[in-house]
Formats: sequence, C-alpha cells, structure tokens
Amino acid sequence: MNSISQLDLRQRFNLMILVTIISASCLLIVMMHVFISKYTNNYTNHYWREHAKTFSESALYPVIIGSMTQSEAIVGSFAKDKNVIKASIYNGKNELLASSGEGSMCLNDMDKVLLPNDKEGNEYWCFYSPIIQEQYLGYVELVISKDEYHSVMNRLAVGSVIIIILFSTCIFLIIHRLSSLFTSTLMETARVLKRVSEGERGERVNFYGSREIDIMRTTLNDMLTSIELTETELEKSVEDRTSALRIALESSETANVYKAQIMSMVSHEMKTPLHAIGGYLQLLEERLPVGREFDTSRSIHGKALLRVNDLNRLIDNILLHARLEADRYEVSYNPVEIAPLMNSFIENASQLLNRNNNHFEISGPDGTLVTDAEMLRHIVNNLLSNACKFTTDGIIYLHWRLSQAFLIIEVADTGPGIPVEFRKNIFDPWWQVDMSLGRKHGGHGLGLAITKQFVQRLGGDIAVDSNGHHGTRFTIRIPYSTN
Amino acid sequence: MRKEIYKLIHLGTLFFSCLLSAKESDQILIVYSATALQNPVYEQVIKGIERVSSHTQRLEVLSGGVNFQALLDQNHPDRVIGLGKDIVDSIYKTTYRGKTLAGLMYFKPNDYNGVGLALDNRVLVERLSRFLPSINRIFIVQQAHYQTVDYMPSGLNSSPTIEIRQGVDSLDTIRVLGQLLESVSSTDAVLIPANLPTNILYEVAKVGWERKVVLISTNLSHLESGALIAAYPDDVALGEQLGILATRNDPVYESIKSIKFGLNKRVAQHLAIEFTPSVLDEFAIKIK
Repeated sequence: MNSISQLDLRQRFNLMILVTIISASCLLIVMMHVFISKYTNNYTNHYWREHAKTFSESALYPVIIGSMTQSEAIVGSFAKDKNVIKASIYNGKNELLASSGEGSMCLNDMDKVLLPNDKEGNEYWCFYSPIIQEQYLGYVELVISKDEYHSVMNRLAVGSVIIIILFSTCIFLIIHRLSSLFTSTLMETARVLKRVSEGERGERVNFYGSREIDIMRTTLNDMLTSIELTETELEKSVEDRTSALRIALESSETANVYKAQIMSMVSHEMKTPLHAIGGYLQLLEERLPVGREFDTSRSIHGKALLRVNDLNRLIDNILLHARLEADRYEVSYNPVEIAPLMNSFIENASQLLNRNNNHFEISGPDGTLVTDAEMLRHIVNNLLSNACKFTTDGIIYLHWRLSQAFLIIEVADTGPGIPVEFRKNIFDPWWQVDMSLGRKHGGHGLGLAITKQFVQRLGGDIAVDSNGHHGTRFTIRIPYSTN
Repeated sequence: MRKEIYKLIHLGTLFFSCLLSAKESDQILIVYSATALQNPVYEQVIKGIERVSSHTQRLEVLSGGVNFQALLDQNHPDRVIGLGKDIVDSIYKTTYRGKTLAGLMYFKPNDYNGVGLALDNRVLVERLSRFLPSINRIFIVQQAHYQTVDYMPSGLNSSPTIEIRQGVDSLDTIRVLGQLLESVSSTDAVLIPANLPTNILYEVAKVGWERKVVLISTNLSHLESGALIAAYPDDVALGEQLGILATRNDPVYESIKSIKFGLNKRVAQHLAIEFTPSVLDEFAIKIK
C-alpha cells in the first residue's frame, strides 16, 4: 500500500488501467473458454450422435440378415476414423455381431441400455444408437476419443490467450498514451504550483494540446504572472511599512531612553534643591519667635513646607512610575497578616478622612498570606487617598475577602463617581477627568497608573464600576499563596 | 409396324369377344374414391374398362360416412367394379358382394373376385427369357401375405427356372433376400419385393452391383435404385381385363396378363448385358 501511495498520478492511473485490463482479460478468457468449451462439446456431441445414427442405419442391413461379415465391414469402415476408439454392432439380443475393440468401455449392464443413450468418460464419449426397422433390432456403439477435442480446446485456449494479450497490450498502450496526454497537463501544473508555493519565481507551464489545454496554459500562466506582480507589490508595501515601523520604534526607543535619562536627571536635580529648600524652611520655622505677630510668617512657612512635600511626592511618584515602566522594580514576597495590614492603612489615612468629614467602614477576615506588603500598601493607600479626596461627608468602604486563590479588595466611596466614558482612561498616566487648569481637586494623574502597574506586578487585575447610584468602587483581585 | 398390327389384332379380339359374351343390358358400375383420381393409374384403368364395355357408369365416392348400400341401390348395377381395397371392402359388406369385381389391389383368389395386381409368373418368365437369355434361375422373393407375382407352376418353360423364397414378414423377407444375395451368382436373377424399404433397397442394390446379380422388381421406382428391370402392370390393359371379366357370367380371380417393362441401361452396362434393338423396343421405359 505504501508503494502505491508513492506513485504519482500518472503511474497510479496506468496501474489502475493495467489491473483493470488484466482482470477483464482474465474474465474474458475464462468466459470464452467456458462458452467455447460448452459449444464445442455440444457441437461435437451432436456430430458424433449423428455419426452414430448413420452407423446404426448402415448396420441395419447386416443386422437384419445377421451377416457378421458385413457387420465387420461396416464396423471396419466406421473404425477407420482416428477418433473412433471402438465401434460395435449388437443385435436385438445384445449379442455382439462385430466390434473393432474388446470389452465394453461405457456400459457394464447391457440389459439396462435405454437407447439412444450417451455416456461420457474423462477421455472418451460413448454414443449409442438403436437399429430399428419396424421393430428394435439391436444397437450400435461408438466410443470416441476426446484427444482431438482436448487438442482443439487447448489450441483455442492458447490462441485466445495470445489474442487477448495482444489486444490488451494494444489497449493498454493506447490508454497509456492517452493518459500521458491528459495527466501530463495535471502533472506539470502540480509541479509548477509546487515550485511557486516554495517561493520560486518565473515558473510557467509549457504543455500544449487541444484548444482547451492551450487556453488553460495561457490562463494559468497569466494567473501566475498576476500572483507574482501582486506578491511583489505586497512585499514592497510590507517592506515600506516595516521600515516605517522600524524608524518609529527606533525613535520611540530613543525617546524613551531620553525620557528616562531626563526623568532621572530632572528628578535628581529637582529633589536635591527641594530637600535643601524643605530643610531651610524647616529651620526657619523652628527659629521663628513665639508671638502673635509671627503667626502669619509661621502659616506661610507651613504652606511652603506643604507644597515642598507635595512636590517631593510628585517627584517620588514620577520616579516610581519611571522605575515601573523601566521594569526596575522588584517584587518582594513575604508572609503578611492581612487584617493588621489593612488596619494600618486606615490609620495612615485617618488624616485624609477627617479632612472632608468622611466616615470609614472596614471589614474583612484575618489570615496570613504571602504577598508584597509594600506594593499592597501603595495600592490601597492610593485608592483610599483618591476616595477621600473626591468624597465629602460620605462613607469610604474598605472590604477584603479571600477566595480560594485570590485576595479580593474593594475600595468604594459615595463620591461623585467616574463617568462611564472615562473609566477606560483613568489608568492612563497623566490623565484626569478634569484636565483644566482650574480644576477643583489637585493631583497629577499618576496614582491610578502606578496602582494598576503594581496590581499587574502582583499578577492581579483591577476594575472600576459604580457603587450603586453614586460613588465609585474599585475591585482588585490579587493571587496569593499561604506559604 | 408389327407392334401396331399386334395391337389392332388384340383390340379386335377383345371387341368381338365382348360382343359375343356380354349381355347388352348389363350395367357396369365403376366405384372408386374421389381422391384416388389424383393417381393417374386409376384414370388409365377406368379408361381401359370403358374401352371394352359401353354400359359403364362411374361412381366417385367421398371418403367417410358413405352408405354404399344406398348408393348402389340407387344405381342398381348388374356388375360392380371396385377400385382400391377400401372401396372393395365396403362394397363387400353390401348385398352387391356377389356382383363385385376387385381391381387395383393385391389379394388372394379365395378372398375376392377380380384382377389382382400380382403379375402372372408365366407371362413374366416368358418375357424375361426373351430379355435375359443368359439367366438360368429367377428367384422370386416376396412376403407371404404380399405377393406381387402369382406363381402358377403349370405351363412354365424349363428355362429359366423359378424359385420362390418367402418371408413371413417384411424383416424376414429382407433377411431371406439378404441371405439369398449372398449365395446367387451372375447367372441368376432375383425379383426383389416391391415393398422393399429404400434404405434396404440401397443395401440390396449395392450387394447386387458388387456381385453382378440381376435384380428385377415389380416396383417401377426400384429401377432408379439399382434394379435392372422393372415389371409393372399395363394399366389400360388391366382395365380392359377387368372390363372383359365383368362381362363374364362366372367372374373369378385373374392375375395381370399384360405386363410392361422398364430397363436401367446403366445397370445393364455394368452387368455387361446387351440387348438387340427389337428387344429394347419392348421396354416401355428405358433410363440411363
């Protein structure tokens, strides 16, 4: 079966035709042999039966007159035929009058002869014919050899086989030629298509034949030319696009490098004088004398320090964001008691809560899990800070729960909420709902971006939706382990 | 010329004998089957009857369901000549049995009155002795109940001698004939049965041809199958014989007196038999 599958279309077609012709030829030979054998057998039987009848008619007169001499003469004349093994004449009492041979080859019980009667052996036929003239007078027996019959059949069989072989060969050669004409087109088409599919250019089919085949050749070659043109144009287009993308990528990478360098440099160059300004303001505030007339100065110093601290946090956030973007922030996993950790977040945010007269609700189970506590602190503090900032006289909720694989934290508020159309943008860096210079709330749009990056660093995700009719709810899902 | 004179004398004799012996008032009814007229022999025989008797009447009988008694009563003939065995047998069942003469059938003298088809051996031998002077013996082979030659020993010439060989049936007759042919010589003639089957006739003719035995038959068709001479009735003469017999007061059985002969010249040539022209003229039929 494997060897057949290795053959190509033309070889398989030729093999199939060859097998079909051989099968049909064998069937034809068998059928011809059976038919001819049957016909010849019947014909020969009929011939010898008539011969036996003639024999009986010839034997009539000798039998009537009971002449053995004439009977022997008749027997002799019929026994001359080379096919006759034995010719015998019997009278009505089954007494042998004359015979060319000895013994009875066919009938053992002469009393049971029902005439006319024929018997057949492997090598001979026995024909019987009655001798009748007004009444039954006897019978004749002719034993005929089958040698000539077999010889004729053998010659016929050999002749048939030779004729059929010649005929089959001619048919096969004609079909082979025709199949070559038809399959060569397909074979060449398949070859060219294979080459084309392998990327070779300039391959064309070269078969010729009838008008239809010529049309097919022209169409296929035109199609290949068209494909090659299209492919060339496509490659050029891809190359152009790739070049443009490469340039853009290189520009982007260069810009990022510059940005990182600028950010690092600017942050460093900004933090150093900022720390100095903060320190000097701190010293000045401490050296202000106690007295009502210095309250204004003290208030100004306090505001200046507050702004210095805001600027310092901004720079910290910028640096943190830059580190996260540059993938230079390492996650540090440690066992953490979740309930005390969450309570510490609330304590840190108590000043913010009191600023806008908000209430705080906290709930969640206790448990130990392994995570990065610092990252978790950044995440929750940022969300609580935002909630406190945008909610006034409301409630801030902090809930957490442990599912089988995740720590799920929800931070919700009863503030104004985030419009649905902006929810997809709030995690972008430097993006705020109110981007105007005269916006009510402060901030620089890095908090949620940093929060999302932390969540992603911990392998989790963050989602935002409405907290009922008002407010916002952030849901964080962070995978955890217990060891 | 001599033949014509002979014929005139013969007819004259018949005419005067008829005039002398026949009653003028005798009415002769010739009865035959309507279908039999297809055979020209019947017409010839009737013609012969009518030639010697002027008071004849024909009666064609259709086959099947015929009341012969009524038919005959209507005609009320003085003498009836029945032609053919079936017709004669039917008439013999009527009251006209005693007035009936049979013709154109083989029969024995004790069974019917009339002229049988069997040839008169004396006439036959007399003529054959003229034709075949070298023949010493003539063997007549026939079936016991189917005699084509009436053997009458009185009035026979001493040469050639006649020997009768009879078989009880057709097979026995063939057997007798076959055995006879094994023993005869070229100076013998064998009169073969008229009803010999064709296939047997072929074998007999072959043996006769090989042994150069003269074969004679009373069946004209045998002439073409190897018989040298065929002796057969002169149909018109047979009719005349019947007609004359009908005029007699005491009709009896008679065999055919007038015989015709046919010759196969090819067989004669093979047997080296030569005939003088006068003898050849006596053969009514000569085939080659």
